[in-house]
Amino acid sequence: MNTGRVPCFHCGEPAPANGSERAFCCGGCEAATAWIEGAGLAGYYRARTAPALVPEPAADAAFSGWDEPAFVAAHCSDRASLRATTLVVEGIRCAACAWLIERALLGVPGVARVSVNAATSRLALEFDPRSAPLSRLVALLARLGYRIHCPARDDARAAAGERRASLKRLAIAGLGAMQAMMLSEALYFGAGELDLATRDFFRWITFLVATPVVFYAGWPFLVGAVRQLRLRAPGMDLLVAVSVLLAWAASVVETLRGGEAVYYDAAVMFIFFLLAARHLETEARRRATAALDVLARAQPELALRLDAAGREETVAVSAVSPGDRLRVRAGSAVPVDGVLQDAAAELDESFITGESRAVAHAPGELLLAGSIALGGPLELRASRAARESTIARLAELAARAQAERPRAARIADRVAGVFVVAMLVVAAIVGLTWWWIEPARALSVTLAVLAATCPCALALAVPAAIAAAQAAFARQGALVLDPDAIESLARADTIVFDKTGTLTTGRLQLGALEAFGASRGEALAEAAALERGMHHPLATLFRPFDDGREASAVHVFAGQGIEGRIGGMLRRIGTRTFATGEPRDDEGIWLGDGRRALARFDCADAPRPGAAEALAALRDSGMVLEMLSGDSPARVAALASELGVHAWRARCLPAAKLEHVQRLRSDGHRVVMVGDGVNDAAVLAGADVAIALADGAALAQASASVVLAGRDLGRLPALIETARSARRVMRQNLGWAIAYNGFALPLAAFGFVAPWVAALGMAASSLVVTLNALRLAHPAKQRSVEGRPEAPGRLAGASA
Amino acid sequence: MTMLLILVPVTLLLVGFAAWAFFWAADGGQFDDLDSPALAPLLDDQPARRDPPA
Repeated sequence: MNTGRVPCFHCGEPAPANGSERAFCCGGCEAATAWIEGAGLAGYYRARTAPALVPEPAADAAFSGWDEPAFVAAHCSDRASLRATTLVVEGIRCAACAWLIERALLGVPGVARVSVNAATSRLALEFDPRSAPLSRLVALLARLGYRIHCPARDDARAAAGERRASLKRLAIAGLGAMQAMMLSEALYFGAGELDLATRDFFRWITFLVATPVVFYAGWPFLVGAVRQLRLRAPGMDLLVAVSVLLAWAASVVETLRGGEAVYYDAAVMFIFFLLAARHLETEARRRATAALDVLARAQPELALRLDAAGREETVAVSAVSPGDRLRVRAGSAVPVDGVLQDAAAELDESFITGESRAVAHAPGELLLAGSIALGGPLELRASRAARESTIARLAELAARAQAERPRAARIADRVAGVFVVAMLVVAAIVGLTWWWIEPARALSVTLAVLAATCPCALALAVPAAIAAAQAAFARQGALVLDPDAIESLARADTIVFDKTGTLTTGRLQLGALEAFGASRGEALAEAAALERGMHHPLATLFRPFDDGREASAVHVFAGQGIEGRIGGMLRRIGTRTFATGEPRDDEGIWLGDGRRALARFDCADAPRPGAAEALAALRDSGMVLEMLSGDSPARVAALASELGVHAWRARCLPAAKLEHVQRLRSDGHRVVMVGDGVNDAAVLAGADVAIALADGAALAQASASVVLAGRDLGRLPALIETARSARRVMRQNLGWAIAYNGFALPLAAFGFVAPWVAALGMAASSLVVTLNALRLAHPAKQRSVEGRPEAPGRLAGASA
Repeated sequence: MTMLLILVPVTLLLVGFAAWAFFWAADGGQFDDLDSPALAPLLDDQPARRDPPA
């Protein structure tokens, strides 16, 4: 970080040092701090554990959409004079944010109830719409740096309901299991001294506490077993249900007829520990999803459509079809992907990049749904429907990746399925054999075999590790789009980087300019016309020199340059060979007509800050680093030696890059491709794992399996480390589960293990597996390689 | 042993009460957010009383 720049007191972005204790990066942050302190809420700064987002200045009018009848009808419920609604807050980074939001809103007259859930980023509000219109509340939060979205689907309430139900089941199982254990203890150890009446009394009490555990807490297992039977796909639930029901039914019969032994304790303990393991796994999964939620909700629910006469009408975003003209007010989000009309505009694309900075867009460029219009209102022509917009597709991909089970888990499932059938058969054989040898013990041994051999740990081993790893990835600002990505990443031995925009900042600076036969201004203007609308970093370089002249018949030759006609004359910009026909190549960018040179531009591109450290860390972890570039050999070689890349290739066309990656793979290497997703979509698709550094344009065509928010290479080593730990944990878990089952089966079959011991052992084994996996979700405080504290992108904001 | 006839039902009552209390708390949303309420006692309690910054 430059000297003379210190972190902003409010948001932590670099700000000019002003000698005093506090420095601010912008007026917005200063105003937010002044307001927070003036309102007596300075405690926020003491309690918070992460810096705030940069607040955005916008007029109240920009938020009037929140008072539209269409929104109210869809998302609010009125009770007497109060209106209630639930909103999604983006930018909650720690628990102190929840407190600040509550206090700030309660200070507005007319707000009756505020409750903020930091874990799910939900804000539940009750307010009087006449004295405190929602637009004013949303505007207030915007000035503090929070963005409000409406919940797209109301799955939050359903998820909360499920969580509550799961907790209640766990509580019943826990309470019941403790009681049943206590009473069984008396039955086991006091067996000789208890008279029959007391023994039966104890048994009936145990029946009372165990029955709700079996049928209320164990309900998910029973339902799962019925489903598995109906689908003829035997699984873990079936084995659990059979063991538990057998133990419970046998105990009831024994209690009624005053038999030898009861097994209530085995049944309840089995359920309790399995539920605990399942609950922990679900929690890890929920944390991974919370990060997604914010992404899914960056797309607004309402759009302002313009009719032929230019009048605005508010419509649901799902009603927008491609070709519609839409208006986006300052401070609100673009509803669907669309092409910017009329005037240039600045947008905040932080919903995906994690960086809150204005990105300039020229008319004709594609704007992504979810970007926030800064400055003034803008108009766009919708090019995709809401569901097809990039952000919706991305959220859907990520959601599917989380719901889908990775290959390893599917294999474990199949093994467990076969295992279940085998174990039911083994248990039956063992039972019959004991019936023949010693009928009195047949039931107890069969129960022990069923409990000891349940492949619960086997079935949990992989999914628990994957869920925990995904949560850890989300925390580090990486979105996983392919369920197998984590495993592939762990096995990778080679990383191939794209150069421009990935290892370098992609922000080129124009150096020397030589003009031959054309004036300098003329050459720059022609270059700008050819590069207009291109997403390559080179294009931005010429943008300031754009004087509006038109280039027609523009054609892109990948890896070589661009051709077009300006004022009827053929013009080419790109490599020397391409633009001037001169076979000898150099590192300049040439403008020519295909035969004759008109100008030569020199430009330099700086390596991305932190790239050297990140690459050093990757080298230390044993990775082979390669770099592919379409750039000239001299410049690629210079960067390669600066960053310590093992191998590089220059002047690569996308096809050559793809071929190189495929050759590496056919040589037996596992290849990670890191790119910006713009020019290398095909190459990304050809690698084992593709990591795209998130950027607005990149995502429109991303074929990545992991999207890294914030373009921060420094997180790469940590991600690979997480993936490797996940793989280690999976192996440990599988090894443990298989070893345990193999060890317990003979012991149980030969009658050395009581049913309750078998149940305890099996369930504890599941718990061990889950807890082992959960280590991944809470990594030791890692610092990113750049040496600055962990700064997750927006994607991770919700899980912070 | 007659003591058991009183104590065991008392235990059951207590367990029943504990289960009821937990259900009541869960349905009231007590376990929905385990992160933010931990901070509440550390922070002042007065609602903000100022107009938002312009």
